[in-house]
Amino acid sequence: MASSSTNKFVLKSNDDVSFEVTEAVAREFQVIAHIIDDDCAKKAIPLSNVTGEILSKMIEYGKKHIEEAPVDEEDEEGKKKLQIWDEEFMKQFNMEIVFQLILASNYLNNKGLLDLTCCTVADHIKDMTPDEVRTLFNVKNDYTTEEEEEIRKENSWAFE
Amino acid sequence: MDTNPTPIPVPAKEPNPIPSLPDDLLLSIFARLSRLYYPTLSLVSKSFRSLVALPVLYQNRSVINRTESCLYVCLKLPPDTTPRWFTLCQKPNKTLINDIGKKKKQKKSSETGNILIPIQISQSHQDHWKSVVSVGSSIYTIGKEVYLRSGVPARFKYHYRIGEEGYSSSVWILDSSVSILDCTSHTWRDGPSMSVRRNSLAANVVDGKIYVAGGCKYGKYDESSACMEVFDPKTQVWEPVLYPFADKCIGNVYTSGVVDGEINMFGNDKHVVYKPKEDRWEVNEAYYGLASRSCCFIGNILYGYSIKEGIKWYDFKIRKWHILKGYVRFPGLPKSHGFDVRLVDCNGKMAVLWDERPPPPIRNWYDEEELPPSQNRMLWCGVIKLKKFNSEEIFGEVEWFDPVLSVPDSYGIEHVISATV
Repeated sequence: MASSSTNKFVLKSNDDVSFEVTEAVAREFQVIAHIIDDDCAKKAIPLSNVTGEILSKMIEYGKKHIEEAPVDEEDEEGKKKLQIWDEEFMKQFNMEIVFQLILASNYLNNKGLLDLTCCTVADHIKDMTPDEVRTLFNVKNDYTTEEEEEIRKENSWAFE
Repeated sequence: MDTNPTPIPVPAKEPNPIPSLPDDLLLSIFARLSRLYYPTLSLVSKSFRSLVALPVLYQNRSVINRTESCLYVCLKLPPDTTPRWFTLCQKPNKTLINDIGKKKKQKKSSETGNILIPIQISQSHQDHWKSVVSVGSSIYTIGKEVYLRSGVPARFKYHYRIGEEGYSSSVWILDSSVSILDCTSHTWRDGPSMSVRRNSLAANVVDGKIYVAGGCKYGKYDESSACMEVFDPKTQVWEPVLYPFADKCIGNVYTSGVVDGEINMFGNDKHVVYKPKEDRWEVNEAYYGLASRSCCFIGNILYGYSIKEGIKWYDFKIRKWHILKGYVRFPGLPKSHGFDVRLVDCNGKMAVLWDERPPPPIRNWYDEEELPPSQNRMLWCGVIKLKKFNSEEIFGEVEWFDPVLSVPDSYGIEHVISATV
């Protein structure tokens, strides 16, 4: 395990920004961990689906979660501290960045960040109207007026 | 300054800067939302609507520990002869804010917009059932009441009940059938029937398996293997649980519940305990004064309601009721007979369902018109958080209470149960 703190890897975004990270941070992303295990990580690891801007944020998240990882399952204080940091971390992003973080953490397979970003969106859309949700997710309303009325009726209690 | 987390600003500059998310990621987001927001999502588009109805969404919710306890209520609503099922829903925040904005009243400050919503149900499952239990997101209704048309066969003669409202002199028995309500999709299906018919059955869940006992004393079903049987929802099979005391049959059980993984069945003449882990039975002296429709077990403790004392809990060691401390009595919780109160376990909290009759209209002595024969009642629901301080004190704290449904005066509560979705 000593090597994982000294071993360094270079992650390269699709817009050619390179980041040097320790093995432990790199391993926060399952996909990269597999590349390392398969010994394919000789030089820079190219990540074709992630921009430099997003990658830098993901590395920031990964670093924090390595450095401040709770001691064990019982370390409630450590968990709480990290949770507060997570909340603060997400506050800086608009929804465009959050969506990109969702895609990237899904692509690089980081369960913690995927959960955090999905929660952020869930929290954000909670009290939205259908129209606001459509705008956010870039979805077209494909109901006819009658169909929409029908669904409204089915759940009239929620829309009264 | 405000220290609350500030909402994330929505980008407004570019028209559609946000990348589209694939369905599996949309489901990951939806799974983290309370189910009460799903109606809004289903209005967004056809694809959103079908996503919200996918079983995998509910599997996701359970994998990431985002399930919620939902209350289900089965009501008799005359003149309908068949009962109807409702589920407790909370109106999304926005509509609630609008409501409060419109009406100035907010006298009962804890009102949180909870209401009972009828669930769509196929004709074939609108039956009266003796017992209900829930396992995860499924509600199992066990022992259907069946109407006997041509006389009463001798072997049924102890199973009937006569003279129920609206069915004068007709004879009803319980059959062995089982029906299952899937609370994620609100669809019913028939489950495998029990091996015997039972009247007065006690159904309890231990480790995800349903144990059904009692009520098979009469007729040809008095074998020890029929006293109790267990249903495993995973294998969908009923199996007999051998009961060793042929001479002390379980008989009728008026209250039952699970304490520390042991099934406690309280009958008129004895208290029977079954310990599934050790496959061991115990027959003890009967407890008196536990019979009540309001009774329910929550976190190993038996709670009950009395008009005099309100909500109370039972100490089995000293065979005595204690008053639940600290809770503010819900307004309108009945203090006289003729009203119904039900207590039910809702994920470790206590849900209370009760009815209230609005005060009669003011009449003057010269009014000649007769009062209308029946008025509606208001069905209320509230939730209490329970905290045990020591062996003698349990405190309750009201989380919310709301008027949830207007019902006819002659209504009846058949079942109240919570399921996890």
